[in-house]
This record gives sequence, structure tokens and C-alpha cells, in this order.
Amino acid sequence: MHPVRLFCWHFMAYPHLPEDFDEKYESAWVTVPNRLWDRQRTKGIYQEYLDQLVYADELGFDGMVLNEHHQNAYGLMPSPNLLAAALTQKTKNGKIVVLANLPPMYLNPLRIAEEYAMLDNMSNGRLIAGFAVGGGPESFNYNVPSPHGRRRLWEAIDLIVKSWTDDGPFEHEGPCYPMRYVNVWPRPQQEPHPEVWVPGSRSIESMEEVARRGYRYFLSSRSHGGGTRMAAKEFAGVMEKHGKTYTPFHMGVLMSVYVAETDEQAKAESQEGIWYFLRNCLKGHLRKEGRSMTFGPGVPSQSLRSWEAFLNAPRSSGSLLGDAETWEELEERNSIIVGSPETVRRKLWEFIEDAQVGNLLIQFQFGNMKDALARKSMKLFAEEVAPALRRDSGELFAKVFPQLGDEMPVEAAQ
Amino acid sequence: MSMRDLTVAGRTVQLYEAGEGTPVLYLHGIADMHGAAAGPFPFHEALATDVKLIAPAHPGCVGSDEDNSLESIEDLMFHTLEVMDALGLEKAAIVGNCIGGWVAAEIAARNPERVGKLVLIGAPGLFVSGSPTGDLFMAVQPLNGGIADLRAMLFADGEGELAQDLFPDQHRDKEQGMLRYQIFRCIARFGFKPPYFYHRKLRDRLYRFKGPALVLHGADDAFVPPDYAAAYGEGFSDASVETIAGAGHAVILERPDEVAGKIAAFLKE
Repeated sequence: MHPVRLFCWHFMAYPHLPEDFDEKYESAWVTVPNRLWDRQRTKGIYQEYLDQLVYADELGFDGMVLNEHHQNAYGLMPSPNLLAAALTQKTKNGKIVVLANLPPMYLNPLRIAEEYAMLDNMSNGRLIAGFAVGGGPESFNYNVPSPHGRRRLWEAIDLIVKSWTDDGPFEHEGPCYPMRYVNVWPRPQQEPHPEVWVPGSRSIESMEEVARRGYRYFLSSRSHGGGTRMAAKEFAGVMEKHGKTYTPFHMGVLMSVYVAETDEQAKAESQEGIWYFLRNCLKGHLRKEGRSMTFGPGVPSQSLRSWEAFLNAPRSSGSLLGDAETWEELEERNSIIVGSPETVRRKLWEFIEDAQVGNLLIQFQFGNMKDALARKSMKLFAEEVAPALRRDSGELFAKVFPQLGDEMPVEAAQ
Repeated sequence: MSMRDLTVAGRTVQLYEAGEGTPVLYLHGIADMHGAAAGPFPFHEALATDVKLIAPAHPGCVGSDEDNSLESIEDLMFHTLEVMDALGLEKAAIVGNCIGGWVAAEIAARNPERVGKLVLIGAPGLFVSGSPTGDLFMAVQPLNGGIADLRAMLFADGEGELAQDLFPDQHRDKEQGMLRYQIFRCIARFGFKPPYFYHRKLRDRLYRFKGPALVLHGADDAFVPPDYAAAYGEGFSDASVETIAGAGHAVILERPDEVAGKIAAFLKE
């Protein structure tokens, strides 16, 4: 059986923004003044967040997810690899998913090849290696022209994977990263190399590049319900075009969940953290209010064709997660699923059944949510939601995707 | 006047041509023809009364093909030299506005024999310590749904009719939204990364151009500070500098007759 894989994703938000943050500041990204960092109140913050991920491992999640963002209050992980290194020593079973490192931001992608290879060895082969182009804020952070991002990303990924699989030293000609000596020590422990995941937001260009190489596609757009199903269909189609067969494990999606004993309790306990996350952390990213830095003419990563399509799309489609004004509006979007174990199970099951995506990367901690609440939600999920989802999805996937077989490891689907 | 296409290195370059007489190559900027509107502004029409104005659109702007290999001002300069080759312009007067002014200055320093007279309007391109250019890329990203910051960076009166008309908060129509995206995608290729809109060595190379140069600058330019004009004036061997009071970076739109008049007089001298 191949049940859905359930991962715990931590964004590691800065939890001490002032009450009037939304009034006074235009963004939680790039320009958010770092004098807001409170040295006293942040003592122990990384320990708290890391321990939540270690707890996820103890609860039997399939893995822990980290990501890279710079100069922001949304996620305190400019270097996810440092946190991944800590996790290699404190966790035992789960995959360590770094989603992702951002090669276009770096002068030398070999540094990423080396650090990922170290993490794979340090974790005894538990690394999932993510690579991403970086969004608008990251372009501002590291001064990388958006039109060059994709080209740099794919040259870097190909070079890194080749550095893991081919014997060195060899020379790489460029054009972005010419390199005389490519000879990575250590080599990764997994053969031929750790699973490669690449996030995208439904652009056909990214799907093509991912499918062609047999990597995993991670939908990062927080567009749920119909959007994920469409993306999965599109990606399956693109894979087929490249002579490959889609299985649910070729795709991942980001979800946000809070579970409590009852629906009412779940809403009451999670509201503060969720609104902090939406109003503060998403300001500058997925909100119209404030300075929107994620996409636009200032960070023009979309092709002219894609931008034209965007301009032609109806206005209403531009509404972003952080624009939600009421709890009801939020519930309609289905991006953040809050409720009793039964409610959450039902909604996630509907999602799995509909989208047939096999990797759910779930955010449990929101903004300034207290440690005890995040842990309680994770525990309830692991004990009262996950077992049913695994059982039902295993049966469903076996029926719909017979090529998965009983013995066939997921990796062989590559 | 006419628009036509030229083929340069296998790529289409859209060209605006107007007027009769001595050819003058016009290199456009952002708040300009090809950048903020597909057609000419009154400034261009005024300029074309005495000369033959030839204005190619930079790669990716309006109907010109994108060039994904474009990643430095040197690339844009070589592209422009190729356009001159294709037009048979062995030597011509060059008028450059904004980014186009920087390209014109690069050509004058590198290939002074290709440049007759030189006019720079609100040109970045030099390193002027303590006077960084404004961050256009941040300014064009909507703040609370609007782009007042961009208008303020480009116009002396950012909330005036002219600014609002060309750079409205909402994409007034698809064409305007597309043009803006196109010019920003073009200039992001070289101007988004350090050192942004200058080339540190250009200043020491300007002396190589011995011809006459006219350097015009809006006194209230909030994208390229006016001391860039002074720096260009010092760098060239034969330059006159004029600062236009009450005008911003978009001085050609804000003072079309005045700027066109000064240029026409300079080209006639």
C-alpha cells in the first residue's frame, strides 16, 4: 500500500510584531525594519520551533519541511540548511524536506550540492532536496533580476544533480555558472541521489522542466480545491508527454490545518494565530493591502505571454489568501482547514479524493500561535486524523494507480 | 511618421520614424514612447519638425522581440550599434532619454566615431557617490493597490493629470499594462542587479567623446538625481548642462516644447 505522505511544515514566523504592525508597516518582507526584533522575547525561539518539528517526527509524520526566506518576519529561515542540520541529529525517521534552497540567489551552486550531500549523510539518507527560483521578495533581497531566475535555476539544478551522480572532477561550461572543478565531497548517501522537489505555481514552463527530468512537482500557490485538481491534471498530462506516468507521489501541495476537540474549540484556539499570519506575515506577499512584492513589473519573472494572460483574466481572480476579511470567507477558500478531527479528516479526504495528490505538506503553527496549541493540534491530527487518511488513501491509490504495485518503492516511479 | 520593423541579429526591432532631413537616432526611456505609450508624444513630433527622427524600441518593448541573452548595459549598447549598422547609420546624432541616455553615453565613450552630436536627458549610468538612483522596481510594485510611488519618482507632480494618465493605479487598458511590464522586464535584466543603473568605469571614459554634448535634466528628477547631469558635464570635453526647473524625470513629457526647442537649437548649431 502507498498511503498519502503527511509532512509537517514549519514556517517559523516572527511572533512578536507589535499590535499596530498592520497600520504602521507596508510589508513583513524586505523592508520590515529589523529594529522590531526583540532580543529578550526571542530567546529560545528556534529551540521552540525545532522541538515542534522533532515532535512531528515522534508523532509519526512522514517528514519535516523547511524553507528559505530572507529579511522578513514571515519565516525566520534565511538558511534552512542550518535547521535541517539540527534536525538530522534530533529526529530519527521522517524525511527532512528542504523546500527549498534558492540557487539563483547564489554565485556558486556547488555550495548547495555540498550542503545537501552533507545533510543526506548526516540524516542517514533522509534528505529531500528542494530547489526553487525564489519569488519577488527574494529578488529584492539578493538583487537577482527576475527574468534570469529560471535560467539560473535549471542550470544550477542540472549541475548539482550531475555533481552527485557523475564522477568528478569534471568541468562545467556555464553559461551562468562556469566551473573548472566539479568534484563534490561528500557524495549523498541516497542512490542515485536524494529525491528532487521543485515548487511551481502552475506555470507550464516549470511543469515541463520538472516532468522532463522525472522530479517531483510541488504546487506552492496555496490555491486549493479545484486549483490543485487542475494542476495535478496538467502535470499528469505534461508527464505523459514526456513518456512518464503520473502517480500521486509525483506531486505535493501545501495545506494549513488546525485541529482541536470540537469545531468551536478549533476556531477559538486558532483564530489569533491565523489572523496574525494572514494580516502580518502575508503583508507584502499574498495581500493586496501593503506593498505587494511577490509579482509584478518590478519583479518580472513571468513571460510576456503569461503577463498578458494575467491582464486578461477577470479582476476577481486576483484575490489573495491574505485578503480574506472574515472567518467565513477564509473557510470558503479551503486554504486553511480548521475543525474537529472529523471535520478536518472529511475536508482533507475530499481534497485527496478530488485532487489525487500524494504528498500533503501541512502547516500546523501559524504566526504567533502558542507552542502548546500547535503541539496539541499536531497530536490530534497524528492520532485521530492521519490513520484514517492513510488507510483510505492507500486503498484509493491502489485502485486508481495500479502501477504503484505492492512492492514497488515510490522512488522507482522516477 | 511611420512604424516599421527591422531585423537585427534575427530579432525584430520596431522602429518609429518621422520627419525629413538629417537622421537623428532617438533612444527611449521609461516615461517615453515605446515605454509608456506605443506611439509618439508631442515632444517627439516637435523634435521631428527639423530632422529625421529614428526611434527603435529596446528589446522586449512594444513590438520588438525580447532578447533573453541581454544581461548588461554593454549588451544593450552592442544591440544598439547593430541597429545602427542595420540602418546604415555610420555616424549620427544621438538623443537618449533616461535609460536611452545611458546607452547613448556608453556608445559615445566606446565608439566616439559613430556619434555626431550627443544629447542626454535625465540619463543614469554614472557612479555619483552619495546620490543613488531611486528604486524604480520597488516603486512600480503596488502599495495598497496603487503606484503613486512610481509617479512621484518619474514626475515633478506625481498626482497631476499627465502622470495619472500614463501611470494610473489600475491598468486602464491592457496595452498600457503590457507596455509597462515590457519596459520593466527589459531594464530589469541589467538594472535590477548591482550596481543597478550605473557603470562604474563610464565616468572616466567619457573624455573619449570629443564632440559637442548637451546634457538636460529635470531639477526635480527623483529617479536620477540632477547631480548626474553635472557629472556628465564634467566628464565630456565639450558639454553644456541645463537643468530644467519644475520638471521631473519625465521632462520630455512635462516640458515638451522647451526640451524639443533646446535640442533643435543645439542640433542646428
